[in-house]
Amino acid sequence: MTTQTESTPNAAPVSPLKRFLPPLIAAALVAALGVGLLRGNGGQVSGPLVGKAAPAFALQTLDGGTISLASLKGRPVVLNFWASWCIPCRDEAPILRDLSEKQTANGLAVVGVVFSDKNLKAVRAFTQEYALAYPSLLDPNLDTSIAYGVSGVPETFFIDKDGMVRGYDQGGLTPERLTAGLGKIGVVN
Amino acid sequence: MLNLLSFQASALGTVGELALLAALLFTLAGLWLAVVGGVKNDPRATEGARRSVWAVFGFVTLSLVILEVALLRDDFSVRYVAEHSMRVSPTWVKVTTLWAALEGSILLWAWMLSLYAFVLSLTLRRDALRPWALGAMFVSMLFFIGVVASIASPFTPLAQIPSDGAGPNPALQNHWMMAVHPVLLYFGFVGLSVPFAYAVAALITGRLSEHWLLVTRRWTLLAWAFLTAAIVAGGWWSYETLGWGGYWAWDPVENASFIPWLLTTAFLHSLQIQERRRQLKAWNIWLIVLSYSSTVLGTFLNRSGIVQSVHAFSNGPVGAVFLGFLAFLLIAGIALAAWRSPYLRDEGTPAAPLSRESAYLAGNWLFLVFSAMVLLGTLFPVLVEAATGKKTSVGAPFFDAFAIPLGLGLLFLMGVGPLLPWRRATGERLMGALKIPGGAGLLALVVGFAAGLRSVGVLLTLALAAYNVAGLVVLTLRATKERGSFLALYREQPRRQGAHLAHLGLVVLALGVAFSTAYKSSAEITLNKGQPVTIAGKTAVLEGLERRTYPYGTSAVATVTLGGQTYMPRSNLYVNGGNTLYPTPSVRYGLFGDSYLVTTNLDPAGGWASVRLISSPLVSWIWVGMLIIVAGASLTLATPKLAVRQAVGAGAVAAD
Amino acid sequence: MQGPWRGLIALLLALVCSLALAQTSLSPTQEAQAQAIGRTIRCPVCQGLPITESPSELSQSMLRELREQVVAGRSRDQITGYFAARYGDTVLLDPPRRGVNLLLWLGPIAGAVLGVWWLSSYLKRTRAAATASVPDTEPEEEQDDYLARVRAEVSHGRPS
Repeated sequence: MTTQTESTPNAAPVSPLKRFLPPLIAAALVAALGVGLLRGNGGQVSGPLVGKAAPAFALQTLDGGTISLASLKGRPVVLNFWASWCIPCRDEAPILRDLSEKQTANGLAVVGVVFSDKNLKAVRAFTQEYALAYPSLLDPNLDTSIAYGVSGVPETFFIDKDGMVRGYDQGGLTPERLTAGLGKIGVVN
Repeated sequence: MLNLLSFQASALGTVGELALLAALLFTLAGLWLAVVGGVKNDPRATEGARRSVWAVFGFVTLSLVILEVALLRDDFSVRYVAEHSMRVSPTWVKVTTLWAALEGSILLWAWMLSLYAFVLSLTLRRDALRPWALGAMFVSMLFFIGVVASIASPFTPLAQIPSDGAGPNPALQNHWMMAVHPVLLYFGFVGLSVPFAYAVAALITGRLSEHWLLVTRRWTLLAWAFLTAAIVAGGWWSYETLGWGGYWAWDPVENASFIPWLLTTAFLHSLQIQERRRQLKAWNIWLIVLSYSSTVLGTFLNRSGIVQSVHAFSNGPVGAVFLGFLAFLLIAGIALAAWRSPYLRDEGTPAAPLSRESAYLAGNWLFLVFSAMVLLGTLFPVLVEAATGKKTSVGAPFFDAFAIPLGLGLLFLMGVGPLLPWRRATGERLMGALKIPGGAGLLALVVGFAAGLRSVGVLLTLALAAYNVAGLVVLTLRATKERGSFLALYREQPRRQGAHLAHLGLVVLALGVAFSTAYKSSAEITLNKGQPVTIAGKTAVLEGLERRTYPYGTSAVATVTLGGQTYMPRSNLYVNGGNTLYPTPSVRYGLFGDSYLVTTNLDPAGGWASVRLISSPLVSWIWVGMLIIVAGASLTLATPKLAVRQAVGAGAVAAD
Repeated sequence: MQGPWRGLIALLLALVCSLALAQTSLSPTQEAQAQAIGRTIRCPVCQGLPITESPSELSQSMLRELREQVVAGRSRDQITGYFAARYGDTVLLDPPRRGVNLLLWLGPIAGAVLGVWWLSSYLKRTRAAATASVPDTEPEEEQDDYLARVRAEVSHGRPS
């Protein structure tokens, strides 16, 4: 059983431009998507605070003491936001520990800030497990985290001795990225 | 790939992979046969293609069943099970884990595609379109089965078989909607592949027939009904689990499902112009090509991670491959349409500016602007970053700014359309027909304003809703009177009555959206056990706070009495979810508003809980409206042959 | 401890607790303003949700910071600028409509205008083609689809 169909072989005249324009637009859209995909959103991210003064803070350490940014003036600072529940933080912890062993009284300072982590026991366990030889500060209200625009962990800020943010890293430091960041604040690794 | 098959490593995995490879083989064979059958007009090749569909369906079903069996038996030698399932999950979670992650969801998509192809192979007629329609289905199947058989295979073997799996994403274990929404959504997306296949066939052969129209309309309506249900069900899922009392966030993947819906709705309406007046043939072909391409765009966005979203699966080569298929569909489909659509000639004279066709055309215009707007907003961050490297973001303010006037415009057209005759309407007739609905709209506006409503969007929605309902009521009453009973009316015009019901459902939904968005209120309070507190005019008491332990996690359940009613919001922790809390709000559904209580913070040991109470007026109307829409679509689908038979009954010259 | 002292200590404790749990109190207009501004600030750890609707701790803290700034009398631009300076422009759900974002806002309007232009040119074209070829038969008053179809087919002389 065949169906009755209408077939009209005489095409209406259509200008070549009109014919090719729609596929061209489609191709352009796909190309743009392709570029967007290939660029990806990994790689070095430039932080919004780079080039601006580092926001001040004065927070308590795990042992009850207080550390403020003002007290570190004149020294380059590596400020690392982390949490005990953060898995990439575990990957970068040994790198930071090695770095912290290079701290000197008037030279590089490594400071950690605990982000959105209420479990003090886990925080202490983390510092002990990775033998972190630098103080970690508690930021219970997230005020300092907000001041630094931290939305996830780990994030690291490289602050030079004049208190300006010069470098920013997120997602977990590798030795190369650490060296690059340190270079921006004038510290040779 | 053969080194990936090892019965020793995983018996189930190997059989599953072999089944997929067999399906791929038959897909290639079927595609070849279909093309040969079409080019050479060879009915035996076409029949071979048809039977290949059955083989493909059989093998894909087999691999799906195997994966389900592996999930239910905790067979961690199968990679997908090891990566996404765990022993302690309840059975329903294990079943739904099939589509909880990338590979399984592509397998589900491929299975549905083969199912639709199978049904199509049983129902499609022997005509010039047949081999090409089958061929187009084979192209779609080739892609999806190809991907799931190779780069996104759930069955690839593992180096080491773990004793327990990683478990599914906790957000997907939290609510039974996981069993419903993805399935409905895929039935909707994949359903559009059939009208697309028919469109490709029509383009290649240059033939459009009565049968093409009928079949396309019915398949599209089926897919559309699923899509509508799925999108609203997804909104309800968000409402019930995310803890903010909202249901739509213009999330990129929500948008990616909304765009096909808009385009398909436009298509359903402009198809009718083709049906009545034999016009807009080329336009309709374009529209269905765009609709189907937009579903692939949606799944590409979902799987590539290119636009960050709650739905995004992991990255990998899959994104690039989906982009490739999207490119192929878009460029080839649009090129085909651009090349062949001039062969589809319209007949008859175009309608007058005031006519039902014009209302439909205006509707099409609004739907397309809406789709383009949503697409632009969704892709804008990606495109800007690709072009300039700058990061930017697009949020609700942009989408709402355009969606609200567009939605109101569509509501208006929806009301005036049924009142206009085809071809030409006179001004006086239209005015006469508009008297009652217009009056009802104005009355509703006045009443709303007097009742204290001040939001412009809500007032206009209310007025347009009244105008729509009044118009439908007047039409239906008049028509019922002429024919004696509503049943007689329905028997004569099942499609129109079904459409009216669907429109009514949309009006209900629109009212729900308007009121719940504009008048949602929330209040937060901290309750200590046993101490009554007044919140939003009612007394709240925290009666109890307990921690329940399940094999797959723990739940902290707070029992709160609020205004005499008991709520039990929960805060869930999953064994594989770390410290992240997943709330299950306690919702009391009401005809005129919901009371929604969710815990934001609690301490069972300390005996206190912070809760947020959200009151959303008329939010249930959204879910009810959706059910009415689906009922209307079902009515329309139920007895279509009747209408066609009556129209072409007495020895018509027209064919089928 | 003796009766009255116990009660006093309990009262003091309750007062301290409620103070600790209490948020910065805002007047209704201030709260409304805070909500309005908060709705345009994205929660950085969620996808697409504003801080007014996210239950995450970060969002709550940001909202608290926002409320404090509203009480301090800062303007909407100052507050959104504060967050944008720290989190980047992507934290704004309603980014400033400048520069490249203009393309975003003008896009749909351009699309709508384009659509109207294309529709009207299509209608003109088909009307011109129709009047050039087949003169219109008597206009249909009421649509009887079957009848119309038969008429159309007969008048165009379809091959059977």
